[in-house]
Amino acid sequence: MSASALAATAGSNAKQKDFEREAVPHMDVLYNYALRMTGNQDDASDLLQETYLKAYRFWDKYEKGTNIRAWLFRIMKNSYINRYRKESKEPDTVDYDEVKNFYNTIRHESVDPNDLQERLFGNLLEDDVAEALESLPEDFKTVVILCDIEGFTYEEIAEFVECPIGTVRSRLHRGRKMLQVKLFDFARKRGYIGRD
Amino acid sequence: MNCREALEYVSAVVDGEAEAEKRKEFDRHIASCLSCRNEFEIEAMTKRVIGWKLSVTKAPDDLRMNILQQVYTGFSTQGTERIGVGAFVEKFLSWPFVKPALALGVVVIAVLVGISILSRREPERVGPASTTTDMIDQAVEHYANYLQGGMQLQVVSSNHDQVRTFFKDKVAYEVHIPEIGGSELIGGVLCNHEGVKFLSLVYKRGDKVIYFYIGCSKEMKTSGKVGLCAKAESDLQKTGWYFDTTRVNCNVAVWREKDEVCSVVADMKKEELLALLKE
Repeated sequence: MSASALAATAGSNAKQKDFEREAVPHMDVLYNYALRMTGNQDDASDLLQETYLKAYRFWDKYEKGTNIRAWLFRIMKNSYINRYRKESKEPDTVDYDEVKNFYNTIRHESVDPNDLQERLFGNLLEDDVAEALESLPEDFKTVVILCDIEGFTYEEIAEFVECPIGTVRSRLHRGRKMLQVKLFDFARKRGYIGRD
Repeated sequence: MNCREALEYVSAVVDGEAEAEKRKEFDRHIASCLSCRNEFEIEAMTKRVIGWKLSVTKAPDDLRMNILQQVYTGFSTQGTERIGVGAFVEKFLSWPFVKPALALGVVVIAVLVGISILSRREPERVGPASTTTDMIDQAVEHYANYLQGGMQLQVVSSNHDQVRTFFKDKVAYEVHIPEIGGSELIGGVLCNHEGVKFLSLVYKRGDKVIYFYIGCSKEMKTSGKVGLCAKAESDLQKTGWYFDTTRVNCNVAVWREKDEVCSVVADMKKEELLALLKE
């Protein structure tokens, strides 16, 4: 084996070790994000695979010492956008005022948050919530997943989505509002709550 | 704080991200503003519902391993890569008449193979020895299978200890995972041939795959199911090594180590293989 070939091999081994140590431990977080973004395991698997293949291919582009999770996350987000960019369905049949009015009514009858929650959203199933989340526009969905499922701080989310913290805050507010409308609508359609 | 400001900070309060001063102002505001209080309570509930209903789901192990293997070797082990051959096959199968035609083809081939086996067998009926599978045949077959993406590794790791631990309780002898200079361990799989267990290890050097296939001498002998050909046995006795250079696209080296029969398959010249093993 020539000297240059040997050097190339040694280089690729070091790369593999680095990759294994730095990138591989974040697979779960990314898979979870992919699962919630796409709403199904097959697409999530494809997305995770594409992300890691790209990350390894472009490993020399990753700046050592910077947030690796944010870097991987951005690769995944771009892959997602390229694959699944689609018109997001706007919530229909009910609007936010309806949710708020309904809440205002039940709020007069009870003070127990658990009871109120059940009366507002019923006992929605996991699938209902996943479907509602999946239907949100991509930017809003992303911040909700990172904040409410992964439990990241605003600062981290801001770094991930490359936005100021104020934007993260307002996207979360709007994203959750859209979700409330969806969930309320589901709960009503499924008959979990009364139609009065 | 007025309503507009309050609504701007609802999320931050819900998420515990508002500074103490803002939080105080916010609380004061919603104490007197019903509309903002409701908005705050509904948002907090929404966050709770999401957190309760949607837990963090881990990546499945087989997916994780398949991805790592693809990342390191460029070969897929499953049909997850939908672009390329897989997609073509899917499309091909979806054409009308393809499936019946394939089925007919399979039947014809099966009949032909059956006839050829029968006609071949006739003059060879010598004894029970013909039921023994050649270990080298197996090793080469697995190697080719791996290259084509037909074999899925059960453990994917460049960490020798991790791979050793994986095999430790699964075989009867002490597992040793060879260190090969300039090569990286990819992972392994436990093969079972009619009760005889073989350790398969995959390494990569540059773009070449080095495949180890290791069995237990005793197990092979007592079962009689897997063995080495007479030439290999005699070479091993004489020199300690046996090389099979008659294969297509790869060469094989065989040797014994303690209780193990080791074989290595790679697309390398005999000298290269020997140099590699001496490392």
